[in-house]
Amino acid sequence: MKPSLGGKRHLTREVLSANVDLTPIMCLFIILVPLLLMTAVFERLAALKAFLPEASTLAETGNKAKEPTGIVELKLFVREDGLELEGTLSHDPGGKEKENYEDVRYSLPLESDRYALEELQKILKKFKHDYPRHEEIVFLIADGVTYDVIVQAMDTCREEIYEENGQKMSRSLFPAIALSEPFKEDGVFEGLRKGTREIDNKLGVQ
Amino acid sequence: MITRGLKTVSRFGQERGRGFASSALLLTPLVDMFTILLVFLLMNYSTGGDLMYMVRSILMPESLSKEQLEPTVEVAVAKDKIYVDGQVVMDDLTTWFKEPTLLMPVLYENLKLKALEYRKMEEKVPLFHFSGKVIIQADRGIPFQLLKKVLYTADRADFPYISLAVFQKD
Repeated sequence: MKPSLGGKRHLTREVLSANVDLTPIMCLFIILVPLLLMTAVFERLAALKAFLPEASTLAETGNKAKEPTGIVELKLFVREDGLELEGTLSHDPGGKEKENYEDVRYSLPLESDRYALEELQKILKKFKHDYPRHEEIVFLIADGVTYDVIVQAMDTCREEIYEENGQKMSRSLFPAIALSEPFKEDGVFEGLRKGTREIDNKLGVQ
Repeated sequence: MITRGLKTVSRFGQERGRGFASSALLLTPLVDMFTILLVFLLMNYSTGGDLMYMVRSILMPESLSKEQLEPTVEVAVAKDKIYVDGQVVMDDLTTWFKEPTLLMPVLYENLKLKALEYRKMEEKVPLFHFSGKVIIQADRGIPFQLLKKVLYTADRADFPYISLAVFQKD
């Protein structure tokens, strides 16, 4: 509103046209958008550590295992028809009194073609609560089980995801996972171990 | 002058003007779109790069793991081929589904050569350290029957520290 200089007041409407020059910002966008599109990551990759039961690497995590944790061994059989958890536990968390050891077995068959992973995690959470120092679990996997199922089972055993105050938190369960094939008998694996001497000689490895 | 969309017409000669029309491009929606796109892309921007040879035929499984991949030797296992650092080393795996032997000689040879190369480099370059780490990139449909042979072979070829490459689950 603009007051007039005379005594009679009258209103005049002034239309101000302010055009913002968008050219520089468009130039910026044209440079930034292709650059970011080229470097955009739509699928993030991650690593999932695994060990072989015979590998010396198990010794790396074995420092804790050498001390009694209360669990002698924890095995998860992963088969096409479901899961089976076997463990040798001690009533004494120190694990020194051998008489107190107890074998436990939980059978978790497929539930409408799905692995009972939630049920498995409930059992593992209880184990972790009773034996917090134990970190290892051995997977004994049947030949027909797919890699996707193995990764899902590893996720279930590695950590528990829960919500606290609206935030996702994680709690470690049994992160040292050894992948193995089932045994034929005690301690004898199904697959044939072939020597590497011939190839090593060919490559000149001593 | 009144501006109506793309047309600029004179106030007094709106209907009976000379037909003069200058088209002014409206950039506002385009700027809006670019702003949304820019925000979305900035949110997805990753400063750390994942250095991996991605094999197109491999669809990796999803995991909750947040652990970062370290650049090292990569073994990719597709349904019909095995790659080492992006190079095909085995292109027919049909017999390997029935084979009871765990060691895959061709893969072993390739990995062992890599290990020897790194060991030599370790001697020459003081700051270089051969960690024995290997990344396994496998298709989610691969049966353990095949995967266990790859894992066993890698372990025998001086690569006992195994990292399974997965897609991060949200």
